Amino acid sequence: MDALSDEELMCRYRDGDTSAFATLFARHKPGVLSYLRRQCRNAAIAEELYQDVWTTLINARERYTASAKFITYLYTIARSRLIDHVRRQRGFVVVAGDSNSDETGDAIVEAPDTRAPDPVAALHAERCVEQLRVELDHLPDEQREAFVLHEEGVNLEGISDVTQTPLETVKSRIRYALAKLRKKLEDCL
Amino acid sequence: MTGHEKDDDEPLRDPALSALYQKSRQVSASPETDAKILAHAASAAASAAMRKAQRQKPWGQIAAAAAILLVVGSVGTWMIEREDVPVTSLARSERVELEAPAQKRENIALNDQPTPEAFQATAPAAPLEKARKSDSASTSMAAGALPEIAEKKQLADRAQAESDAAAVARSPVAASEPAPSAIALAAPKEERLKSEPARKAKAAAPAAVAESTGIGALKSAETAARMDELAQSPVEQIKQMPVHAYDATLPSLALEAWLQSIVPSGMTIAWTAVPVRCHGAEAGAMAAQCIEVAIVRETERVALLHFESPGSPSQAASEKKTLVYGEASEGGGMKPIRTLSELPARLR
Repeated sequence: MDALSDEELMCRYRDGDTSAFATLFARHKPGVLSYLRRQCRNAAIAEELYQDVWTTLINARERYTASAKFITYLYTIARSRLIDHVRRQRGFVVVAGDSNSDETGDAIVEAPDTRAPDPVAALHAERCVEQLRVELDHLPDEQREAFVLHEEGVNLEGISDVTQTPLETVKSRIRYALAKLRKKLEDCL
Repeated sequence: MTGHEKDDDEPLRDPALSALYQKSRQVSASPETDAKILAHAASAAASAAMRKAQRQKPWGQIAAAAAILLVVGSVGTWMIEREDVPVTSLARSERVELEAPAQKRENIALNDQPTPEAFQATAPAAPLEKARKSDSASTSMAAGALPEIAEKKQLADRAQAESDAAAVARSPVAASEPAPSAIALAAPKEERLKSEPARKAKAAAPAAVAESTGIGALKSAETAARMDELAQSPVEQIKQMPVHAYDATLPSLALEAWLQSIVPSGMTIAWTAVPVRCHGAEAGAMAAQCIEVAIVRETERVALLHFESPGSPSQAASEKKTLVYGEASEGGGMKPIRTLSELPARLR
């Protein structure tokens, strides 16, 4: 079952094979949860949205066709749930692809410097992980989203589809995110 | 292929940064959430199998029914395991805590309210000692060895019965007060999310008792209801919903998509504010409770739909103000509509 592609697994589940769903779920649950947590920055809300995402996928299984990449489909649902949540919290959010905003909307608040030299490697690694979390939180939403989706395995075209943003803008966002993270985390890389 | 796509633009990936990201990944949801999702997936697949079998052969129906029974049975067992928190034993254990004096504990033991095993499971260690002593006293009384003590026991029985009634009335799990899960389900999603930490904290004490007795968590009812709710199509629910009682737990995206699909060309949907203050609510109060949508033809507002969460303070009042919540009439006022399913016909 593990050798099957996401699309094959989803088709099997659509046709009634529950074990296919279990495989699919195990494969993607960390990524979806991680994406939701990074974007909404609240563990309890992220978990609620995480449940909604999978429930939506289950309920929509009969409409699934293998023509779409499953991972794109899944993260599109996840993003819709996020937008829905933000709408309820504070009204509409504008997340259309505006490449100019990448360069202008990146006023990063300086995070406290947690990079004090530490002789113990493990402690240093732990600090680096924590610092990455902090720096990710400080990225503009669009850059963080593109970076996280890319790290979770969604390809560039997929990110473009999920975020409804031109491909070049996606690349630009990831480049900006990488540049900032490299700069901030140079002691860790 | 594992679902993690490779792209040909590798310069956009920094291996060291990726390794760090993988370490920083927060990957685990609560086991209950994962279990709910998997149970829902299995249940949905079984339902689909049954529907399919009904269209095929009788033996297929039997097999599908067996599959359904299997799933329902296993989910039921799981829920019973998690839900079977004996309210009475919780109430008693709380009483033991509340009525701390040793005399009360002795009374409980004298009256043989919980079985010794149950008492042993819920009571703290020190009262357990006393309970054992009292229990042995009770046994000797039952043998009629000391008539005076037996008389005292009758008096104690009566006093205890009264005390029990009072304690049950005072108990936080008394029937007059809805269970935490019921409150959570009745409340809008935002409220539930906001109150989640408080609710968890509130539930911590009984949950701890339940865990100590190996009974399980208290959230199964909420889980089951939530799964049922999510299993239904939001659009179908929305269509049948009274306009003055929008269920805020449903996705506003579904509402928007449905409205978009029914609005004739030339009309647009304008979400005047999401959320808005409920009609009839105090200024600034319950601001997150209501959603308002206008359907507009050019600059003319054809309909104004004011969706109000069940249980909001102005809900009762809103039912009397249906003129505000429906289709615009020729006189400039609003004609009421009862449910959203009536809307498409009115817009034509």
